[in-house]
Parts: sequence; C-alpha cells; structure tokens
Amino acid sequence: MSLLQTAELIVSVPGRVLCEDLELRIEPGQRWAILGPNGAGKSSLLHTLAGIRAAAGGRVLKEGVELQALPPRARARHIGLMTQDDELAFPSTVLEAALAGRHPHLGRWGWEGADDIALARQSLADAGLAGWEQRQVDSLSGGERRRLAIATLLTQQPGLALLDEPSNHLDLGHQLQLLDLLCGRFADDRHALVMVLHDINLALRFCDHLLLLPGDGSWQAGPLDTLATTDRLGPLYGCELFEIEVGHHKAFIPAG
Amino acid sequence: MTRPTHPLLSRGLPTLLALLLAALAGLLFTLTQGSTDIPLARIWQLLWHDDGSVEHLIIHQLRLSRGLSAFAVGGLLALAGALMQVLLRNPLGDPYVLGVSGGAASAVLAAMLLGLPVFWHPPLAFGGALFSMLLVFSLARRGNWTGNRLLLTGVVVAAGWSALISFVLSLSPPVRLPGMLFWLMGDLSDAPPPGPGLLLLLLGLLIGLGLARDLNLGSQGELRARSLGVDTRRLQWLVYGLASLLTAVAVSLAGAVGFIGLVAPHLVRLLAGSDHRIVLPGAVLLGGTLLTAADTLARSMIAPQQLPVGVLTALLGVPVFLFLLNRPARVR
Repeated sequence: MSLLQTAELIVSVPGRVLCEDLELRIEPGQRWAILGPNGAGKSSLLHTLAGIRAAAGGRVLKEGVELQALPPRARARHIGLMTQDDELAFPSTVLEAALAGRHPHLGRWGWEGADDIALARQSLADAGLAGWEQRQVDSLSGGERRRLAIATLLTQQPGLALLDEPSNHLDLGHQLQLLDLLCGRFADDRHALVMVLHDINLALRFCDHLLLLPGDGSWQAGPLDTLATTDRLGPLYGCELFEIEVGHHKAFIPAG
Repeated sequence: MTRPTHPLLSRGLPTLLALLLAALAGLLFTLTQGSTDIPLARIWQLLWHDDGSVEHLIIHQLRLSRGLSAFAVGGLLALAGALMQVLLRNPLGDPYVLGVSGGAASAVLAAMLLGLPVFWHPPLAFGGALFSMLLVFSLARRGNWTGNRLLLTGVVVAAGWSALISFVLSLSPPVRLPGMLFWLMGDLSDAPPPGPGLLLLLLGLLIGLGLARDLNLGSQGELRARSLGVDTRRLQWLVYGLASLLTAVAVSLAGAVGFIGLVAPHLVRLLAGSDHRIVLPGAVLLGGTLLTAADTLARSMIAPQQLPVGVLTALLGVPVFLFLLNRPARVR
C-alpha cells in the first residue's frame, strides 16, 4: 500500500496554477527528488503533501484516508517535514529542539520519557551533534542548524520524510554523509523519502524517482532512469546540459 | 548506565522552587508592613487563629487581602505577557501591546469624568478591555493570519485609545486628575477581594500548561509547528483570547500596571530556559511576587501617603532586568 497518494491534486498560488491534476504514488522504499526552477512551486507542493497547506483541488491520501481529515498529531506521526529554514523567537537548547520531534507522539499533558530523551540523543549523535545537547540553538551556524533539523526529523520517526532542500547550508562532506544517513533511515520497506533538490547530481546519487515541476501546471513523474535525460532536464532549467560518466556515476554539467 | 534525566528537571524545577519560596517570602513581607507594628510571631499566630482582635482584622482584611490581590494581578499580567510574546513571536510583546488596556482605561476614565462611583470601575474596565479585544479580533481576522497583521492592528487600535485617553484627560477638571493618573499607572488601593482573581489565574495557568508544548513549537515558527502536528490557527486564536481575557481581568482589578507582563516572562526565560512548561508557572510566581513586593513598598514607603504601584514595578524592575540581561553568559 502506498505511503502517500495524490489524486487530481492542484497546487496554486494566487493568480497561477503551479501543478495540475498531479497523480503521484509514493511506495515504501522509494526515494523521490522534486526538481524544478525557482518559483515552480516545489515547496508549496511539499507543504501540500505534508498536509499543512490546503490544495486548490484534488486530494492527498494516506492509505485511502484524506490527509486533511486526520487529526494533526496523527498526521505528524506519519509524515515528517523538514522545512527550508527555521525561525527562532526564543532560543532553546539543542536537546530541547530535537525533543520537539516527539511532540506528535505525546498526549496533551505528556512529558518526554527516558526513551524519548535517549532517542533524541541518539539522533543528535547520528547527525554529528553528539555532545552539543546543552548548546543554545541560536549559537549554531547555518549548517549546524540543518543537522539539528535532521536530528529532529529522526527523532520524529515519521513513515514518510519530506525534505525541503536538505543540502542547504551543508558543506560537501556533510551533504553526502547526511543524505546517506537519511536514505539509510527512510528507504526500507516501511519508509519513503521525498526531497526538493537543486542539485541534479545529488538527485542522481540518492534518489530513484523524479518529479519534474516546470511551474506552468505540467509535471512529469517516474523512475529516475527514464526521466534523467538531457532533453528533459535541460528545458526544465532553461539551459543546455551535457551528460558525463565518471566511474560508475552519471552526472550532468551545464554546457558552454 | 544512568537513566537520562529530563532536561527540564535539572534547571527548571530548582528555579520554580526558588520562585515559590520567593512568593511566600513576599507575602510574609507584605504582612509585616503597615502603620500598626505587629511582630512576626504574632502574625503567624493570627494567620491561623481568629482571636477577635483588631490586629487579626488588619492582617486578614487589609494586608493579606491586598497582598493576594497584588499577587493575582501580577500573575495574570505575567501569564498574559508570556502568551502574547509567543503569539506575536516577538520578545517585545506585553499584555497591553494589542490595546486591551487602552479600551479598559478609556472606559474607566470616561466613568471618572462623569463622576460614577468607584464600584463601577472594575466592570467598566473589563467591558472596555473586552470591547477592544473583539475590535482587534474582528479587524485582524480577515485575510490570512499573520502575527504581524495582528500586531499592527493591535498597535494602531492602542494608539487610537491612547489619543482618546489624552482627550479625556485634557477635558477633566484638575481635581479628578490624580485619581485618573493613579488608575493609568496601576493602583491596588481600591482592589476588590482577591478570590475571583486568584481563581481565574489558576484556571488560566492550567489552560496555558495544557498548551505548553504547542507553545514551544509555535515559537519555533508556524511551518515547523504545523508539520509537528500543532493546529496553529486554533492555537493562535486560543492564545489571543486567553491572554486578552487574563489582561482584562488584571486591568479591571488594578488599572494598567506596567512592566510586569513584559519583564517577568523574560526573567524566567533568562533563569530557566524557554520551555513553557516552566516559563508559564515561573512567570506567574515571579510576576505575582514582584507586584506584591512593589505594592507593599508603594503603600509603606512614604506612608500614610500611597504611591501608584506601577511606578515602583518599573523602578524596581528596570535595573534588575538590565542586570540579568547583561550578566556574562554562563559557561555551559
């Protein structure tokens, strides 16, 4: 059974339809990349898939149940979203921020138990933030905050992880390390991963399905092998691309 | 392997305990101050045994009642301030920023100008505050909710009230001006019995604690909160309603006491971090204690004359706050 499914989904902003009649099935074990130019509606679509943005039409279904009909906490146990940026009005410690991922698992008056705290600590360690638990979040750099957001997502333990530009602010080494970590965690037979990426080559390396979103209402979705071609990706970004092969890796570089 | 302790318990609980002790000390302090000298041992005895003496009357009817009123008002304002700061995601939020006190003040000042008896002031203040709250609510709810839209609407409405207040003041005969100014600065000498205020404070705190984890997430940004399962729209209106009602109650009891609602939550955050399961009860205890202490000084410093308590909350609070804000960061 698919983890998430859309039916005739329409995502729009005032005055413009970004993507029309989208039919998407996200199955366990799949790793999707959403590619498209700036302003194509990648984040809006991701938020709609996460159930926190109303669709202009159509439905998003979780195992046959419409997402909007689920109680917010139940929805958040199923779907995790890592947003592009976070804003902080009042600083908290790194451990408190990671523990926020347990919120959907706790009742209104519940407190995080020893298991929750151990899980948050382990997630922080996995994201390379071991020993940082008592640091204030506002003292972290952009890349470190990104790692904290990943740790929070790991603490949340959703079935489906939606990532908005997860490689933002990360250096090359951390990009590979953390995407490896996320793919390892979310690509088994109970989980799936959908990420908005700007780097085609990261998508080639870490994903097996593509959703191409030009922003004019059209879309193309399918296995990576069929969609990752110069004549599909070039027009998407409005530039000419060369395909090269290095070792076992396929890569795209801009021409000229 | 040792069992990991909850991060809140290591720092939060000691702070709450200290604030609770401070609150009790504050109440004891206010019982000892006054024109009649009553020794501490006797006060203790009188608290529990009614011997029919005048001193018993003084302790219970005058000092304890007023001390508890001050505590209730301070607690209400601090709680409302903490909620407003999350609602607006702005550390400058205070209970008055959205014009609730302006509505109350306009109603009370108009009543004073017309010479209505003091008895009418609390219900009028409450009505004015409620009216202002509904006005801001109905103006700000159209279109997409954003914290900024609410803040801007509230600030503009507050400016309108402020102009109206100045207008009433300039019309008023000089003999009525001191009473009006006292009310505007906050004054507990006409406060009604503390029971209802304390009860509402407790109720507000309980509701706030039920929302505490949602508030933690809400202050981390709307998208983040929603993705973690918080119904942010409902939370925002709930917090707005709760904070405004608490403020309206406080203002109707003691006028527009300044400063407590802004500073008490921040002091608790500086002492014990930003988790609202600690911040909310901490702010209530600290706000109540601050106002009790300030009111005790206000009525005893230059007795028999009384000072408006709002003047003292600021005079005491400003240096304390600046000191804590600027103290060197703790080594972690």
